[in-house]
Amino acid sequence: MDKRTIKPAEARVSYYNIDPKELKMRAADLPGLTSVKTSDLFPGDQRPVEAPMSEAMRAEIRRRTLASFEKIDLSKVRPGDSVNILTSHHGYSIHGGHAYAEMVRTLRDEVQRRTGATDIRLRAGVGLRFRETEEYIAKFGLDEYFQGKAKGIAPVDRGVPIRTAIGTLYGIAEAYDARWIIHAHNNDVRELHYHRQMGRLFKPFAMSYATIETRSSYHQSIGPRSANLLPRLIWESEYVQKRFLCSCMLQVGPEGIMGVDASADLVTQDKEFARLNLQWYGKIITLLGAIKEVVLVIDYPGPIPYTVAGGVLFGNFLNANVDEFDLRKLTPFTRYSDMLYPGKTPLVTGVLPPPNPAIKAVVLNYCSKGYPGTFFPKLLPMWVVGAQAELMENDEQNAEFMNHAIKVEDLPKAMAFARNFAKTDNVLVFDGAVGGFNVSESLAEVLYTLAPQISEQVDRELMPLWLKQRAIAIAA
Amino acid sequence: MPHVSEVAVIDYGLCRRCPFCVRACPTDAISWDRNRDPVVQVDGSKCLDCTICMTRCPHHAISMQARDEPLAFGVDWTLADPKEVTRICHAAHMHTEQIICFCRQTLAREVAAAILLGHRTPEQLAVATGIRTGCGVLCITSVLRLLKAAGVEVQKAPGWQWYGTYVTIWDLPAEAYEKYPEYFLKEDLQAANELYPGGD
Repeated sequence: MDKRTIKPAEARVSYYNIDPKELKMRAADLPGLTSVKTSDLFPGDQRPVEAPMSEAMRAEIRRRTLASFEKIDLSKVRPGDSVNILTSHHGYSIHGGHAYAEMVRTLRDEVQRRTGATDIRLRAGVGLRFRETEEYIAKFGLDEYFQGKAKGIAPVDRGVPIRTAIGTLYGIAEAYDARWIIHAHNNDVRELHYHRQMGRLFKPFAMSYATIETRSSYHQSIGPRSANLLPRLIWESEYVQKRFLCSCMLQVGPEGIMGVDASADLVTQDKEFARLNLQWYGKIITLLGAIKEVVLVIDYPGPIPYTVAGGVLFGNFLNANVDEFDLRKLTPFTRYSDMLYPGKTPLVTGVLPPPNPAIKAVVLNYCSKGYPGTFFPKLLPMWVVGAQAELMENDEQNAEFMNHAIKVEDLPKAMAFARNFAKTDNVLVFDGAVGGFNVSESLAEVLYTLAPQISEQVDRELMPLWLKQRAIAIAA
Repeated sequence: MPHVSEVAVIDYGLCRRCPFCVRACPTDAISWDRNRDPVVQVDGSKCLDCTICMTRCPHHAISMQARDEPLAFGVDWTLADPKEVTRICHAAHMHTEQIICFCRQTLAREVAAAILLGHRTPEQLAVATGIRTGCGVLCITSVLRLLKAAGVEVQKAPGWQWYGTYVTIWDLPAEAYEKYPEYFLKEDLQAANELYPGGD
């Protein structure tokens, strides 16, 4: 790997990815690439926990989990009670997942130590890849750690009715089959185009812990902003409240893993993290939105829109021509817009903004299957490399994906085609880089030039608006 | 016509007859009958290679294997009365050409036509149109909305397929608008009315 680039996320052994041996080259090894650090673009005081996979990091995560969880009142939990620690797939993928797994292990140990309860289960919810968390449970040895009580749960599993203020919705029965639940999650900004930083910490209650109709209501039948009311209402339901013990969040920022925060008040915690996420991610996403033209390279073991670098997703960049933090605005890609693109133009014009026009071409070197993403090659010129193209051709969730993309033998050739088509030297890579981005030298220059004015614009103009829309006081 | 080239195959050496796969299959292609051998069987004519059974089987007893011949599916929507197709779609607040199933790129008019041609449950519609045979998750409320718009009352689903209750932006109670203004319900209702047809 070129020493100027940041190390990409490791290839993953998974049913949902190509064999790592088939991944012939990483984008970080392309000639001419360099990197920019987010801390150089926007100097601040973020101090991430140690390197994600080190023993020191594990010890630090344990220490911070214990320190934060100590304030949670567990006196209601009796020794004979059952406790479900509810987790979601994404946590196990953040910077390799070791920090989240350690937080979860620590929660288990601490509940047992402080309450005497021994029937402590791990429930690991998924997105649309139903074996994914089973793979993580095996990777991190969690079934042994939970004494045979760790389980992946999926939205097609048996449901349980939950009466909410707007009607009956369904949760996954095995998420709630205990006397108590602990909501173990993270604040990663991630799919901003869906949650819009409105109730982001509640979202798993309508996703990872919910069955198909609830998830479908969220994505197809409510609205791109208002759908975020669903998880809030499920959490507020009597059914959930009588089980809810507390939440525990792995704190994540563009610089890496920042710590752990436990709380018995999810409403307040959500507001606090909304403020942090606006601070941590607001400038970076706004800066990326100022790029005028670029070739994107996707090179990360996650589904296309969830491929990430510097804490920012491909999905965030796809929508970055619109200020996604500004709740007045509709964004280019959500499932509500996806529905309206049977072809390259939407069925209704003048309401939805187009996908970020700065994206002139996309090279898909590496990603996971198992996420319906035909929208992306349909709307963006895309070249797909080697074995990855075969994976997409055989993806049951992307039956027509490769009808819209071009298969290319290797990464350098794909880059040559894409650059020639796009007529720009700017390259931005989503490869799991932590604390920065792997980019072409030309784009690095653009980012360094734009950063000071973006910083000022966010501080002066945008941040007060974002906070006001979320009823968060401007002063911390 | 779209087609699939693989089919679910059960390894009876691993199968414990639990019957998780039967309850999760969106096309109702897997059946369970204690009075036959083997107890759990796949009807290949209804399996559209969604892999849900394979990826949820607790015993890893199911794999997808190549078919001898590809299985075609899909509905020619022009075989149904086009006015009725449009009426059903619009009553469900959908454009006729709107995508419902992101995985198979199935359009609302194909599902509406399939209903008019006699496919009256989400499972029958899945076999006919391919809907719900990718992720199995995202499009169920649109299917239920189209069935309701067509005047079809769905009965109990086989297994855990669906429970029949869902919410839409058009039927949220007034109290929700008053109590949760920060969730932009009014604004999204206005956007929905600009983006989609107006219902009945």
